[in-house]
This record gives sequence, structure tokens and C-alpha cells, in this order.
Amino acid sequence: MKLSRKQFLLLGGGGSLVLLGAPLAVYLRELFLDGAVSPESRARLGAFFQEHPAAIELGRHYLEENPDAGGEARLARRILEKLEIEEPAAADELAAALRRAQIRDWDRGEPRLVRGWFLTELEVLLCALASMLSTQAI
Amino acid sequence: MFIDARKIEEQEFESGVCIIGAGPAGMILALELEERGIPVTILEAGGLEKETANQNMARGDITGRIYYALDNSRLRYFGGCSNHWAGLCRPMDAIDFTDREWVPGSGWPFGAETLAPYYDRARPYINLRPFRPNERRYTTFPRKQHEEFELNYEQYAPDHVLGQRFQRQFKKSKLIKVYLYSNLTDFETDENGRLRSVTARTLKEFGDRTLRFRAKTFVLATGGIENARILLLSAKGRRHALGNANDHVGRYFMEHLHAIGGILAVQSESFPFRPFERTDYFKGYLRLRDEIQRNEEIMNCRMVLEESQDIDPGPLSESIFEVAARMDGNSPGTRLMHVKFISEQAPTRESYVGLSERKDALGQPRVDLHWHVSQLDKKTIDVNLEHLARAFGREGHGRMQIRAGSLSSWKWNFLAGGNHHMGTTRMAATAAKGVVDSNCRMFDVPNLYVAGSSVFPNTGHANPTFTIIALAIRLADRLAHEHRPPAAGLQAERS
Repeated sequence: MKLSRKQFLLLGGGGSLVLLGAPLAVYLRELFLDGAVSPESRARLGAFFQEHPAAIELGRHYLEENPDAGGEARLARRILEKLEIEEPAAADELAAALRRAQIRDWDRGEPRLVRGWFLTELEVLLCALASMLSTQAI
Repeated sequence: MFIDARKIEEQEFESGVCIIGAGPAGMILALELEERGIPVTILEAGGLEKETANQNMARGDITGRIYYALDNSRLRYFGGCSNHWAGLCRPMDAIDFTDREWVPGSGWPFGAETLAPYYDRARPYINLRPFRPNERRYTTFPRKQHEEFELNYEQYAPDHVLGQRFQRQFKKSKLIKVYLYSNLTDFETDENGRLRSVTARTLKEFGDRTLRFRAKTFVLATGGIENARILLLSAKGRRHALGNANDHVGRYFMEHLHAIGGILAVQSESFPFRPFERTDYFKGYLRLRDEIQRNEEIMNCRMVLEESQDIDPGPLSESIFEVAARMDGNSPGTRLMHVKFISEQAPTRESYVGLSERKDALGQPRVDLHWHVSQLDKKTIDVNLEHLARAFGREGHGRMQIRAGSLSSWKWNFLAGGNHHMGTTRMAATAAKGVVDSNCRMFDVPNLYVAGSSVFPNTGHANPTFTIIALAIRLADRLAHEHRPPAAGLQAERS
């Protein structure tokens, strides 16, 4: 799934959500409200990530170097925790929360090093999730 | 004038001021004294050019951390180490002079304001013009967005090879006598502990002559390693070496830690950055502000960003650039830069200059360099790199790859020095804490002074030669007061 320019602008203009897109909002909302993600939502997010192989590649390296990072559910919950939002709502709110979480990570978070590259925890968690979903049948 | 010690018949000489060493410190000190009409004798171990026999005298043992060959790192001829100095100049920062409680043994006996006028007076000697940076012209680093960093500049001195620059002036001088090929080998002290004379010898292949120089005041100016070695050699026949009652001579050897700390992948679109280009006159750098250094309890360090076509960021880089750009709201498109750091070292007794069991051509012990890098040194570099990586990430300007893969698992063996030999005859407020006082005078030898970077109790990140010259001018003021020419003295008394 590819976001249109209009959708992108609606997401707050923060290009950060180009990576995540609306599918992540749906995915996280289901996880938050229902405690589980439907196969359809997982498939939509997985399809989105397939169009962003860089994230999958980066996530794959991170998971190689951090085999204890956890499975899909744990990664998703850690992302949700990092967003520090009361309840996941619309994609534009998610975009804002994502940017806030990213800045918090740069300011105070523990850096994550992947092949020596200094990245935020949020970045690598998202990429790890992308990698994990990409290995599943969609 | 130059006097070739290999060819003279006399053996005894006398002067008001006798300087040992014709490197930057000794030369500038002599020129300042000459200007005031004070006669000076200089003993220079080498000739006017680099010669193998003299350079061999600079060899030594490396028993600590790996270091450069000492006969390459030091130059034993007229002009000394200015002959391989790149000319980078920057006054030390105010924080470098302060007592930082997290840096044991830190603090100069005076503050930056004391040395400031001497930096100004140092400029003409190396033709260094006052510099007022035009940032719009030279760099577009968005300093407001990186409040933890200070953007600043070093300057390149156009005329920094002092041996060449002043050779004619020394040759013509009637007040400065430079005895070439004169290796200091011995000190003679009187019953009051004052230095009466020094003995110098020429090498065997140069006639093996022995010369004795008497003076009212002596100044040791042979470099950050050799100053300590020469003093340690004076222990022969004494209870302890000159200045070494408290075992400080040779201790606290410091360098500036140099290395490429990482690669910075900068988003071209978001960061209209022009690198801190090296022109023939200046170079920009970043430094963590004093308050950050205090909060993090680290030392001073500067980082230089250099764009290069030769950087190989590795196979994962394309993914990093893509993801980072999208997370930051940019289009991918990167420029790669090296992050080079030049970092201060903490003074520790474990880092020292001692005497080897091997002997030089004059039968004296060679130097033994035992360089040590401390945990605080490593922490300083780690913290600087982490702040830079965070600043660029936070502002959406790019990402950084730390060299060697991880902050905690650095392979520290790639750290190098800069041929900056400092700290081995440190300046202090009391004899219990150092070798020389705030006027560079030895605590226990009242007519022996030490000039050069060996007196630095702390080094900051700035290359040392500019400070060496400033300190030499300050010392000249002091000695000029002690050695006023008779005419001037009479005039002063009459007035």
C-alpha cells in the first residue's frame, strides 16, 4: 500500500509516517483495544513494509545482532509503549506521537547500534517489526 | 650568530641567559630578549638541517601504549619541532585552565585571561592575522539548532617553520649566540642549589668536544620529552634529579588523542551543510560546551567533519539512509563525512617519561616513553561522539556510524597521538604538586626555568605550539625584568 500525497499531508507532513502509514495505526489500535491483531491488519502492514525493503533489511540486521529482541507481539507492544499515547487513534495523531517518541529517544533514550550505526530504539523496533512481518506469508 | 661547536677552540663561555634548545620556545624567548637588548646563548643539539647522527640521539624505548618512533616524533635541529608542525593555532579554552573536580590534578595556577595578551603577541612571530570568522561564507552549520555544541575555528599559521623564518635574523644577531651541535650532558649546582653551569658535548664523529657554559639564568627548552629526560639525567651524583624531590619529573605525560571516530551520513536535503573546509587559513570544528562537559564529567575535545570520496559506509548504509530519511521526513540523498576528534588527556602518573637502560652515543640513558590512556580519556571520546550522533539524529540531519561498531566495545588501539608531548615538568602552585611555578621557574633550582609544553598541567584540545610561544613571551617578560641591561637599569634608577 502506498500513501498518496494527500494522505501523506494529512498525516501531518511528517514524512516519518511514510514508513508506517495508516496500516500501522490500524494494527496498533487492534493490538491496544483487542489485545490481538487480525490477520487482515497484519497482512496489510506486511504488504506495506514489502514496499520498503530498507526497513526490512535494517530490521533483519538488528534482529541478527539482538536475538532476544522478542517476537512480533512483544515488538508491537514496545512500540506502543514508546508512543506514550492514551489510546491509539487516528493516523495523524499517531504521526505526532511517533515524532515525539523519536525526539525523546534522541534526547534521552538508550542508543541502538546496528552495524555501528547509531539509531533510536523506536527506529529499530519499527524496522524489526517490518522484518518480522516480511518473513510471514501474506 | 651561529657558532659551530665542532670547530671552536674555547671551552668556557659565559652569558646572562643560557637557553638549552632552539625549538619554538627557545627561539621566541631569545628573540624577545634580544629585542630588549639582553644577550643570550643558545645550545642547540643539532645543526641547521636534519642529520642522521643527531636524529639517532632522539631514539628511545616505547614501553607503554604504542607510539611513534621517537626519532621521527622529535626533531633535533634548529627550529626543533616547528620543522614538522602543520601550523594549526588556537588558544586554549578557559575551561582548560580551571580546576575540574572530575579531572584529578587539573588546573593551571592562573586563568586564561593571564595568557590572553601573550597569545596576541605570539601572532606576529608566525604571521597569524587576527581572525574574524564570516560564517556565512565559510560554513552553514546550524549552530542554533545544536546548542550543546560550540562552532569554532583553528587557524593555520602561514609562517610556522620557525627555523627557516628566523634563520637570517639569528645569523645576523649580535646578541644571540647559537652553539650548534651542543648536547647538554651535565649540570653543575652550587651550595645554594643554584645552577652554576651546564656542560655540553659534541658527538664523537663531530670531535667529542666538551664545552662549559656559565650563566645567571638557564632555561631548559628542549621539548616535552627531552626536558624531562635531561632533568632525570641530572640524578647522577645527587640525592634526586633536579626538580624531582616529589617524583613529578617525567610524570603526567599527555598527548592529544587523534582518530576518525565515525562516519556521518548527512541528509543533503535537510542540511545545507558546507563542511568545515580547510582553506589555507582556517578550519572549523565542533566542541561540546563547558556546561555539557561539566554535566558529563568529561574533558575537552574538538571534532572536525571532513567530506571525503573515499568513505565506504558498508553494505547496510543504503537501508540506513532510506529509513533515516523517511523517519526524518526527508528524501534519501546523503553525503558522507568523516568525524575526526582531537581530544584532551587527563594527567596521570601512569603515563610517564623515564630513562631506558639503553645508552645513546654519548653514553647516557635513552628515553623510555610509557604512554597511558585512561578510562576518563575514553569516556570523553565516547560522550562526544554520542552527543554528535544524537544532535544530528534529533534535528533530522543524518545518522552516524561509530567506528569499531559499538561505544562500549571500542578497539582503542587505533587511537594515535599528534606528536604533541606535554605535561612532564608540570606547572603547579606548590612544589608538592609540580616541577615549576606559575612563572615556569623550577621550585628547587631558583635560576633554572623550563619553557615549552612540558610545563602544561592540562592541555585542552588545542595544538600546543601557539601556547608554547605565548608562554615563551611571558617568560621573556619575566627574564627581561631580571636581566635589564645596565644602561636601561641606570636610566630607570635615575628616573
